[in-house]
Amino acid sequence: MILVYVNSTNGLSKSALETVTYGKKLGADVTVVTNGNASADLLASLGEYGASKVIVDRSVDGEDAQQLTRLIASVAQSVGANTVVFSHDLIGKAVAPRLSVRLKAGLISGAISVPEADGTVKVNVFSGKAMGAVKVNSSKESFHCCQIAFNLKFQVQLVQLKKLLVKEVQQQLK
Amino acid sequence: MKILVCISKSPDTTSKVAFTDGNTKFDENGVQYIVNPYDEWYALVRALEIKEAGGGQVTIVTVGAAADEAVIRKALAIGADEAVRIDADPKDAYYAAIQIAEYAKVNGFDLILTGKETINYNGSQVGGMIAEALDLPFVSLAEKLDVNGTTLTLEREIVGGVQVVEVSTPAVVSCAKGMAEQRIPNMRGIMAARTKPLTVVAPVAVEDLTSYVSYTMPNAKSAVKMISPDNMDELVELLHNEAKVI
Repeated sequence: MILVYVNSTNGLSKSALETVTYGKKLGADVTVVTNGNASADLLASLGEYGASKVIVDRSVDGEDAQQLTRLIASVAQSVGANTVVFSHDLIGKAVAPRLSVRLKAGLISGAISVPEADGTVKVNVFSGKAMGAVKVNSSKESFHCCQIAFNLKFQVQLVQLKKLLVKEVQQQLK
Repeated sequence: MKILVCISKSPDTTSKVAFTDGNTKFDENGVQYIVNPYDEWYALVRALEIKEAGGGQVTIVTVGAAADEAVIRKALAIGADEAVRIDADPKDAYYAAIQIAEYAKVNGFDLILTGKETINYNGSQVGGMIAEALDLPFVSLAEKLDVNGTTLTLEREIVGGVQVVEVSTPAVVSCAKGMAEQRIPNMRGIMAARTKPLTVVAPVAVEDLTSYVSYTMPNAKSAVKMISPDNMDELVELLHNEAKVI
């Protein structure tokens, strides 16, 4: 199970759609977790990009990394996700490292490829002068994916539309 | 205010990037190491400015081997009061972050500053990880930091504007360009750095959660293709079939 966090506070950005598409490319069912006030119709459109379920908690502040970490950790555990995908943006950079520690899950920042057969993921290193192949040693992975990795138009054509369930929850945060 | 600044070594920005052992290790031959610029120019200098304005103490911490002490002395020469080296060779951000968090937990700091990322691994991970391990608020990529008592006011760039964030201390902040101006250590600072305390701390047992398996160099850029302004058909053909952008 792949869990994708998207920030829908100000609608769905291009990077949010890319992140869902990336999650779908990992090959398992994709559940999206989000917060904020985006309408159910807007969130349902994520089905076009590969999500099979959206879980939204409208009580969580969109900018508070501690609350978001607790929300995502709680949802990841309840749906049995073994991989969590973020955009490589301000919120992703604040929340993904926290989640990595909370779940003791390896974090790959700035992924520019989907995992190879051996489980390695390419990332840019040395400020773009080279690329590294990183693998996660822990059983749970927390990918931190890069916005520029994908050609959105091309990917969307590959994604089959699915009937989407938007589920509203209010997590009991610890 | 008691401030902890996390520093890391990174290759000089002019270093040639190459790999050895079947492209599994960075080739350190002829490489000069420096304090990671984001840690030095922004995190450390801003910490010193805060201390100069309101008093306090600036401690630098790094996770590294004895060979890294030259880099630590440079940070002391810029003005830090004392240094701590956690004696280990970090293999991933989680390992380094937990080591620093364990040290900070025992010694108690009002503010922990990191650079926004290192220029060798570009991960942007350590600050957030330290914050979670200590259950502290974390503000990433801050470009401005003001201190008023126990309240920190930070600014960071977001799409379409600047976001102002307020947090209470203790907190963790990652510092980006704009936070401060680079300082060049003067002779007095360099001499004083030799006698400033540098404590070596034993690491705690932590597992690496990730590892780098190999490295590759990017493909060489192809030559520029010049298309005649009269030949729009060829331009469209190349953009469509070769560059695949339309």
